[in-house]
Amino acid sequence: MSNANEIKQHLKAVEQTRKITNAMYLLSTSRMKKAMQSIDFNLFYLQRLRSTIKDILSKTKNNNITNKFIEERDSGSAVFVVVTSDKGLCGGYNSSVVNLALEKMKEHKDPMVISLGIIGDRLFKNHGIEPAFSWYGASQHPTLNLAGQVASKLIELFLTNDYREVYLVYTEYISSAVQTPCVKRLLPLLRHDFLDIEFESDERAQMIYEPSIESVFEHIVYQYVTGFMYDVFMQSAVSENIARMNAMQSATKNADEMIETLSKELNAARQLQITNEITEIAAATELQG
Amino acid sequence: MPKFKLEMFTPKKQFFVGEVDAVTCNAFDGELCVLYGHQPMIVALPPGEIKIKQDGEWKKAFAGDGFIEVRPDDVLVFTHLLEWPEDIDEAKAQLLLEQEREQLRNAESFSEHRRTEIELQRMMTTLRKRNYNLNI
Repeated sequence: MSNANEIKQHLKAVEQTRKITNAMYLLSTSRMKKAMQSIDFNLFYLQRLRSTIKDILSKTKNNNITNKFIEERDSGSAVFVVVTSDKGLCGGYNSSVVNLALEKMKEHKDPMVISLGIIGDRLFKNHGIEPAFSWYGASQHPTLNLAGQVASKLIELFLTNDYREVYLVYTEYISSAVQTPCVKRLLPLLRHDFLDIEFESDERAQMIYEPSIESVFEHIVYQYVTGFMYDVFMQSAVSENIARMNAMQSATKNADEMIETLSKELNAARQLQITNEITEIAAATELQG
Repeated sequence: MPKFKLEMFTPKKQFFVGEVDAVTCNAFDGELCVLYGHQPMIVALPPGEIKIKQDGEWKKAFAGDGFIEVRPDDVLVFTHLLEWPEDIDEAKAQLLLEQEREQLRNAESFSEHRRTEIELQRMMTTLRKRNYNLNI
């Protein structure tokens, strides 16, 4: 049986750890609630923007309009934008996103990785992949400003014609119980990516594009990519905090169990010590008597 | 003059929704005015002013770059930034303040997080060193 002092020290360490995990649980709960407030409107915005794009795409098809942003390319590599967190301690949240990205990247030759998040950076480096560009703070405090920066870079890369597709890998927030890592194509804008949008329009109608089709598409794509990035940041932020909440909750639970076991052990050790002492005293008195 | 529905969005908020008489904005090649029954079109917008005529009164709003879509039954404006002029100073100050705060918050929470992480690691090492057989 272990010595009571050692168990006491161990118990103290577990109790302190429990305090930390519990505090982190509460913190991520409040962060999650804060991020949740803006997610609904942003989803609505993106939905409207997507239905507008679907409308435009169906018209371009019927009016035989071509543009570099809406055509499938035959050659070139792919860009992967991977959104992870800046901090650890959130269970499998980061590794599942990175693993999905790595799996998808196998399908392309020489893919380029753009990483948003410190942990993602680290995980890619562990796999021997150096991200071409990195931004931090996306999931911590999502801002439109950062979304705009990333969007400009992505459009610039796409326009060099070296890349045929741009993919986004992030954790999709479906409900507070379900968040799954997913891959979505961001560019080019293809009609079959917009099938989920319910929007009926008069496809034969003639559209005027002012000042030119190129300029209009540049503006639409910039709005879309920025809006999409912002939405992805928000969804990732909520998912990250939910993941951390769950991880910290189970850590706290484990600590509680450990504390219970250790308390029992401590009691047993103390009892044994007392029994030993009594036996010693009894033996001593017997000898004296 | 019949009215039509105008909706203006930014990723952060629905700036304006309502029945209006007319909407005027500065396009790249000059001012553009949309009235009821305009032919469908999509126009790229540089940053500038958008004027809305509602109930006989003109309202002005400042807009970032974006685009306007004129559809048979409604008109949509998508841009990054939309502000009423009376809010603009306040909004700018608010933005600056927020950026400042964000930087501070980031720094604070990073070091905080590092500290917590180190603390946790320390506890874990203590536990491992004792090499306890816990049976759980």
